[in-house]
Amino acid sequence: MTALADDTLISVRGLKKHFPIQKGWLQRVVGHVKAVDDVSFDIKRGETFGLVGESGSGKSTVARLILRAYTLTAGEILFRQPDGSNLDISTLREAELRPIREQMQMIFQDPYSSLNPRMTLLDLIGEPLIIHGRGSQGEIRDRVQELLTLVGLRPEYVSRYPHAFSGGQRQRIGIARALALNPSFIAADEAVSALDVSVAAQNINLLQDLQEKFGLTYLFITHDLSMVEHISNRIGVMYVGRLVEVAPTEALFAKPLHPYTEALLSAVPEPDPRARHARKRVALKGEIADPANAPSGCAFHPRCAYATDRCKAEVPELRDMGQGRKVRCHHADGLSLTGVIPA
Amino acid sequence: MSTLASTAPEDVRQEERLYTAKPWTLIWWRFRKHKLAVASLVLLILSYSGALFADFVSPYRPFDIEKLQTFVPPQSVHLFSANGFEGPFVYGLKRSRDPDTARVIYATDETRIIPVRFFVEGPEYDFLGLIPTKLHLFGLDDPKQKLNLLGTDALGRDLFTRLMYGARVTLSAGLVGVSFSFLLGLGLGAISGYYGGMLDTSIQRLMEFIRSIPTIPLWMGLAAAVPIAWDPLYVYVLITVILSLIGWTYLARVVRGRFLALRNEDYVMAARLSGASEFRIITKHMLPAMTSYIIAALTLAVPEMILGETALSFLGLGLRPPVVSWGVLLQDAQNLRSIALAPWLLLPGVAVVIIVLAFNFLGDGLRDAADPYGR
Ligand SMILES: Nc1ncnc2c1ncn2[C@@H]1O[C@H](COP(=O)(O)OP(=O)(O)OP(=O)(O)O)[C@@H](O)[C@H]1O
Ligand code: SF4
Ligand SMILES: [Mg+2]
Repeated sequence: MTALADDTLISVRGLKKHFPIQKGWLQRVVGHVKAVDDVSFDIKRGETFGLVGESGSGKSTVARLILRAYTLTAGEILFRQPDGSNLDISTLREAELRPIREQMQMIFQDPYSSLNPRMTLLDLIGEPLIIHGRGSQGEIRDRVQELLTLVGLRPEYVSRYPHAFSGGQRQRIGIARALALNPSFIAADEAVSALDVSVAAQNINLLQDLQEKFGLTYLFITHDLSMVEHISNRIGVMYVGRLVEVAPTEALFAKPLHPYTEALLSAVPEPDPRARHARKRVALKGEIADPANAPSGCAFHPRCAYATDRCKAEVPELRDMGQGRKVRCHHADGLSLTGVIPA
Repeated sequence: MSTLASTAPEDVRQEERLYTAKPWTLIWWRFRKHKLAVASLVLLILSYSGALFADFVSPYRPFDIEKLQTFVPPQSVHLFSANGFEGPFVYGLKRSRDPDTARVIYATDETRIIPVRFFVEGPEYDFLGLIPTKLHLFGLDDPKQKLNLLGTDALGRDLFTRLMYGARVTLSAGLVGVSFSFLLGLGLGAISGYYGGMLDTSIQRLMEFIRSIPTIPLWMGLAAAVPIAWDPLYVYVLITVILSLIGWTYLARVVRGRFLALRNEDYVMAARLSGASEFRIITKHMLPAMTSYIIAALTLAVPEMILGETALSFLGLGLRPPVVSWGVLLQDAQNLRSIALAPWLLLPGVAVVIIVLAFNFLGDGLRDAADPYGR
């Protein structure tokens, strides 16, 4: 176990998750979906780390692995504890994880299926408090009302059921629930993707306010790059279970180093109509590769405009490019790719 | 929903009532909209209470033989006579013989008006098997006159009375059979859906195998193995067990499906990520979301049991006289002669159809209302 930099809250190293594909009567394992394959990155305390990529690239699986909803196939997850020590939570058993669960929480994509419709807000938001024995019934009620106020809902709503609320409000209930135990880390998996643009913007502002107030650290997952631009400090781009680029947000938007990032960026709508025609559009051809049967060499090569023979044969490493940037491409140094912010 | 917020205080209170309504309240509100299902529920409650209090509701006892009153057709109850309003009454019966065929013929005697009384004294019985009493819900004052609402059979026994007593056996067989299959279905379905993998595949194959066996021959084979000389109570229990050996697969499928669906619900993962124990997840999150579905599935499984009992008894392979069940009663209508002579002996069959339909309507209504949160 190597030491963490002082400002790092979570360090993920060599994370792997291979889901077995089972067939037939005897449930024989006939192959593996390599949903996450050798992913490493650090999240600094108090920052928002954005994780982007097309559907099926393994973003949700990464979040679920970090929160230990799944068991790992391989890898380490170092999580800094309140006392400053760092703990590898990748091999802890469920009982040992319980105290850790207080420190990390998740906000879900679907505001409908993530709240049990048969529980009142008091039971929903109070559940983590009850499980971890935080106070008497009265104290829990007070805390739930406080949390509701915090996310901009009226404290009288405690006895209502989720069906009384709109999607955006439900998402806030989910946020209140995630905050109940004062976690240091929150993974938001497509937390606003299901909402209207204006409601999504409101909820992003709320998340930013809460981050400032409580010094929260976010892992913010989305397939929509325009969403992460405002909230993330740094961004990781995933393709078929692998991290292909990590960079500070500004730098990534100004000058992507990986052809996949360039293609994703060119799909971001341009707010300024006059600038629209000036931009180069790199259409992504074809479908995302199947993680059960990834292409040889660089998994992106069948869709890459810059691919060479080397790309087909040799798997590129995630290389450090300086200035906090990393990229997994053989030709990263030689290419000059276009971003969306005029540099 | 909240965008509809209106300012009138009455509306606000109405809305708040909806927003704080418990799951079962919502299910009830939704169920209420199915008029047919509600009507079926009422009918079933009436039928089951009738069966429970069969001795009080029926004017006679099921084995009272009346040699001079065989094959009496159903009598109708009137309110008005030629003299105007009389309250409920029946006309007297004139018994004669057809001179050619020597068949007994009954004709109503419009000059004799016999009032129908409520809470009258009749033959003695033990109320619910406990309290000796003579009180009956309705009947005639004169013990020599008989009131046969649904007619009588070849031995002059009152069919209405026998139908009520038969309901006890037939309707309860449905419930008892369903509770046996409930145990099997819930247990195996939950194991199948919760653990998955090999166990799931094996249980699934077993269920497919059972479902592929033609029911009637299997029932017949099993029922034929029940010794005739056994106590009717044992036979009754065995028959219901035989019926439930088939019925549980449907239930297990529903339970398994719910478990599979719920296991992947985000809120179950949310609970897990909050550190909830497996016990808490099952009791607080999974079971409450399943009960309404299970009740609906149970309701839909009852008719099959009732039909099974009736079919077996009708074929003489299930319950046998002197036990009275609807299937046993239908045995009397097995030959063409008695159907031609006394078509009312088919009425237990009509009762079966009505009850089976009612259970199906009720089950459909419950199934539709089971998830009041559907988007
Ligand atoms: N429980 C599972 N069992 C088997 N395969 C899985 C499982 N969960 C995810 N996968 C597979 O792993 C791959 C990555 O899935 P994941 O949900 O992490 O992608 P994602 O980037 O979050 O996509 P999306 O934007 O659609 O949410 C997909 O191919 C998916 O089919
Ligand atoms: S390694 Fe080759 S194929 Fe892969 S992204 Fe770079 S240029 Fe394209
Ligand atoms: Mg996802």
